[in-house]
Amino acid sequence: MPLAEAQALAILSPGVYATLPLWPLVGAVVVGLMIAGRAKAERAFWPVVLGVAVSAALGVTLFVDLGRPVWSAEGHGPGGGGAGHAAPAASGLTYTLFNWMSFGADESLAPATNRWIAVNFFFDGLTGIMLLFVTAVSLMVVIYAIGYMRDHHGHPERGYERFFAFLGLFVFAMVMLVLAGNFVLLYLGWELVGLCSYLLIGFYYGKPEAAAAAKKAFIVNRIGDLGFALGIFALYQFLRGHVQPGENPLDYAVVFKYAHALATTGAGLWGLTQADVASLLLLCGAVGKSAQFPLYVWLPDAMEGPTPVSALIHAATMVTAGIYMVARCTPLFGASPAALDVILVLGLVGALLTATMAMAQYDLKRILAYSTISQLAFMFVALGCRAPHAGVFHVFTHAWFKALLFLTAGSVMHAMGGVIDVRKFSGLRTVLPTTYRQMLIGCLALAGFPLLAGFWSKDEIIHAAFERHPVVGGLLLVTAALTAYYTFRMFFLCFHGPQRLPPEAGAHPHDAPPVMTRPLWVLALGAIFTGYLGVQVGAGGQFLGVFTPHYVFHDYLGQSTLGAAKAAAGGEWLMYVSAAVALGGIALAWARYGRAPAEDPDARLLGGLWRLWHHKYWVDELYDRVFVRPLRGLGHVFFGTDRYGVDGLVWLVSAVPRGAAFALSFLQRGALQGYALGMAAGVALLLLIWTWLD
Amino acid sequence: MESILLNVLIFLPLGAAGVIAALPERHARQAGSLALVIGLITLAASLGLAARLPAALAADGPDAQVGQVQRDWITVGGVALRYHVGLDAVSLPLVVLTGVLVPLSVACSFTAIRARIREYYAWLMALAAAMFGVYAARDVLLFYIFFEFTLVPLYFLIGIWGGSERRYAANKFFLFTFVGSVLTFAGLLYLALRAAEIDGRSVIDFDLVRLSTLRLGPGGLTAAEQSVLFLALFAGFAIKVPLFPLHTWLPLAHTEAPTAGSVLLAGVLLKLGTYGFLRLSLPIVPEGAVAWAGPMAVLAVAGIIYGALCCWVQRDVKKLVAYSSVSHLGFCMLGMFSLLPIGLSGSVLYMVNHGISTGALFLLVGMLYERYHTRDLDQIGGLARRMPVFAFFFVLFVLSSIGLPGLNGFVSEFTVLLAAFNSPRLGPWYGALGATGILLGAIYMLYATGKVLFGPVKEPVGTPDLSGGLTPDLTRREIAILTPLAVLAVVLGVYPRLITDPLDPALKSQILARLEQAAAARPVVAAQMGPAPRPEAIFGEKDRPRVAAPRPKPQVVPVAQRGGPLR
Repeated sequence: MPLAEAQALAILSPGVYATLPLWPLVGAVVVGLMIAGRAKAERAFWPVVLGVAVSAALGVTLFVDLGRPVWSAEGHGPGGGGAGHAAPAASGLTYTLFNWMSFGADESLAPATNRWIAVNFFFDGLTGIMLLFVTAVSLMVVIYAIGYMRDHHGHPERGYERFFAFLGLFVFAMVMLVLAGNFVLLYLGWELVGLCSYLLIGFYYGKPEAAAAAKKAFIVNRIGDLGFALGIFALYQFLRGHVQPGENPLDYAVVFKYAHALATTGAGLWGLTQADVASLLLLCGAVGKSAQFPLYVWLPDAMEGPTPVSALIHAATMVTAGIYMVARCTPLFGASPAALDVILVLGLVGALLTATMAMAQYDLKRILAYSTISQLAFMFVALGCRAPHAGVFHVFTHAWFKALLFLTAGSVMHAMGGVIDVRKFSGLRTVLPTTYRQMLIGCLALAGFPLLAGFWSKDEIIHAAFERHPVVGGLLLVTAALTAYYTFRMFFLCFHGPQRLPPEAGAHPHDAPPVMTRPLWVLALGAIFTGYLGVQVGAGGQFLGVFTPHYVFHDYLGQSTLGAAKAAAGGEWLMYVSAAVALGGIALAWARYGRAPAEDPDARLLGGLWRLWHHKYWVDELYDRVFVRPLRGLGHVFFGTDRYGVDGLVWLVSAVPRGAAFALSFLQRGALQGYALGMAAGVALLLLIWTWLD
Repeated sequence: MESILLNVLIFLPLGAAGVIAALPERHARQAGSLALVIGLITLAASLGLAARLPAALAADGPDAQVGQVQRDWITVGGVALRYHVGLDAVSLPLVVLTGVLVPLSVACSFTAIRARIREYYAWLMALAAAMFGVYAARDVLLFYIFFEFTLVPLYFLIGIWGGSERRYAANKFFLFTFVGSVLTFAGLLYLALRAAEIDGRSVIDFDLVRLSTLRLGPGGLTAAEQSVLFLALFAGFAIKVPLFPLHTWLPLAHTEAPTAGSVLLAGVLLKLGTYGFLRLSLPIVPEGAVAWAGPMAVLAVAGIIYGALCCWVQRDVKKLVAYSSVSHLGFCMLGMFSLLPIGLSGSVLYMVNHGISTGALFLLVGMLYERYHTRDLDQIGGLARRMPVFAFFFVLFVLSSIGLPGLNGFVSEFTVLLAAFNSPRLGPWYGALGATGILLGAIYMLYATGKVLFGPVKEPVGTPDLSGGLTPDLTRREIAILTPLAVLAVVLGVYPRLITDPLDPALKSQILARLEQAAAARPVVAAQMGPAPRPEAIFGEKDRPRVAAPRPKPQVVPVAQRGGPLR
């Protein structure tokens, strides 16, 4: 049931919101022209910062605009949360800009105006939430980068302009991804953010590790995208028989309308339904982009990129695209229990696996990278438990505190002269007091410390998991404990204990300049308070007598393809358990790492297990042996065949008649004709052989 | 006016070839400039013709032609060869592509070619004339004449100005393609004879429209005849495409050819094969095309994967780009033999897009070679630092080549794969296996990008060679060569309808209608093999073009079993 335009958007017209992706792109292009015109790098950030700022302003406006029904709704009754509060039915507004690609003169798509894949945008509650944090976090990161991408003397780094051009391009792509109103346009945003990721991971392209990591990220993502593309093809095939005149088989609105029909139709493949096949194929894309097991291997390596990139792309926004996509397609995935189960299992395996890996790393950014994968896996579990609202809530809160964590890690790195090995420094509390406080907030939020943003969203997921099955919930609790533990292991190793500095840090390491610290305070506020969009504060609450989960965030999100959120029922004790788990993890970390010991106590205690974690279960090596090398070997075989085999075969086959022709050539006295004839007959014979073989 | 433009397109380069060859020694240095002027004039003429297409379409419907010229040329003993040329919505995109690539390939030769300059540009101009002619031909015999005529200039271009193995490459190229087209010629002769017989005419002619509307079935071309004729046409076109496994001439010819030769070979001449299939095979022997669609698609998919894996193990970057053509043209053929509207449309688009992206990549490799005198990926590296502008263009065209959405390659790649996946003649497995090409494409292209541009700077001793006015990064001339292609890559990625809007109706009326006619003459019978159809199974196919079949309800469509080698 599409909303009428006027009803959906009142502050600005959809046409104005549709320019949202454009501004950062314009900024990027202007910077590109500055590069071409050899302008000075000093001011190269302005166009992009302005472009992203305009987008952020539009994003906030859109968020408010789409939320009017929620903001104006009366009576979030106490105790029951939003239980009695029915959000409007799943609805959205599709706004078409122009027709992009042709389906050809396909008669089955009527009328002819529908034989197009359009550039159209889809507005609903999910769009509003995604755009809000994507544009806002992007703006903070871009501002931070103004200061970060400079050396100690404040001179722009080599490639300063290029960096901002890429960031602008990225924000454009990410906003396109979120706004897309059909699967092909989604795929466009999907691939473009992948490209920006490639370009930015490989920003220091002179470093072989960075170049290799960029390539790996792109290719591993392409594995997922391959499935994603096939999912689109399958949707097209399945829906072509259903669509009514005026409907385009790849538009969200149409796909979701017929999702229930796909669930009752078999696909003729291993007993799966059409909804299963389409969902599982689309899921491949999400597994790649959101770095889930088994395609997570690119994300840790992606830390070769500059830190603002790690914060923005590889923690806050792009990697949540997979979660976004599955949540967006709730009607489709919801129609496929098989796909949901796969999501659940992948999420559980990924969450535990990468949490253990994070336990045994020393690279500050990589620890955060593994924690990102683990948190994304939490969101996957939420999706698999039919709790997409909880998943999106965690996406939202995670974006703030994870961006904060990465950027504070960047501040540490900046002060330490590029060193990020936590064994090489400690006791930075007094050296970098601002960074210390900011990172503490981020770590507490990540660890699920009560009352901070991460606590609320993570708890909601654990709650949903327990409703699904106690084992699922239990595994998540274990992971949450590990998360709190390794987060604070890292934190204590950096900031506590005796003060040690690497020689690279120079004589007087100090906190970052205001252009870097101020955006971090904004993110820190987000890390503390964004949770309260989803938690009601008032007497008679479930937690500590004051707090009750489920608030405007859920109602807001209810006005989207996700549908209305179930109110949390029962399980109040769970909040106390997860609070205890977080505090316990932090306490244990304090006990073991509070004095930042030079020798790692865990490595000694856990021995072989620790080494297994430290080497990341040797998964990279395994993939190399099992997939990469055999495939490349096949390439060598093919190329060898080409040089000697196929070519040789053609000549060999032609040699028989050629030989005959040669033998008879004294009769014909025409060597050249004989030669040509031999070739002709040879090729013909080869073709005949082929026909038979076929 | 329009016919003058079309004549300019064909005869101006031909005349210019003669003039350039005859230039006196002291004016030899002007040969390049003269050729460039001619190239730009042909570009203007092709754009002028394209600009007139909308009006013609509005007036004459989807089959409208611009610049039509029809003259009786030679009539001997009841056989008529007509000079009949004209451009429609199918051929115009390729003509414009040729019009763009000819001046660029002239301009890219200014520093690269330093010996026998007049001859070189003369052959290049002759090649241009032949290429324009072959797309413009509306008479099948004329088409064949131009088709063959392209061989001669290219043979000399490779054989004289090529790399170290140029003789062998030129010979192999010539023999492969010539031998194949001899069979094609035989097929065309037989076809013309039968056409006259079927229509009851005493004069044997080769009119394209007449042949592609020939009666089929009883009293017309039989299915068996069409099948064999398809194979005869296949011999010439498949080698030209080149379709796996007849591609072995290509890596060698591409690698050894001078840059301009490679650009035109990849950009225009390979499309003669695909264009031949589209223009001749499909409409003239539609039942043959339908019957052979499966095997054709198998070869196409094999080519996609085989070519891509061969790319990955190359050390010679030019050979890598050459092998990528094998893979790419596989996509093009796969889309075409889906025999679906979207597949044909995507296939034509693929021809144009491949010309842009691969043409540009060959240009870039040529610019690299001029500076470093090597194409060995192990001897160069990290050049993004030395040549940022070069790096920008290289990455752009690599992305275009691997089908990044927003650039041109994506549109055609996506549509041909969608078509293969959904085709009742092929099916999901074809689409799925073909789609591995989008992964393998990224692997080999980024492998090359990483080797050339990233990592620590690596240059052979004594390079870059900056003789002849070159600069370490691209010169203004080189940037001017690449910019039009970059603009086209973006424009066609965002607005492919420039091509598909007129193209789709033309394909429908000229080719798809004809295929439907053939399908109606011989309906494919579904579900006769294998066990009783499972009612839920429609992953295979559901809407094959059957006569007057009601739209099938998904729940009750029977499984269609087709024994393909991939099932």
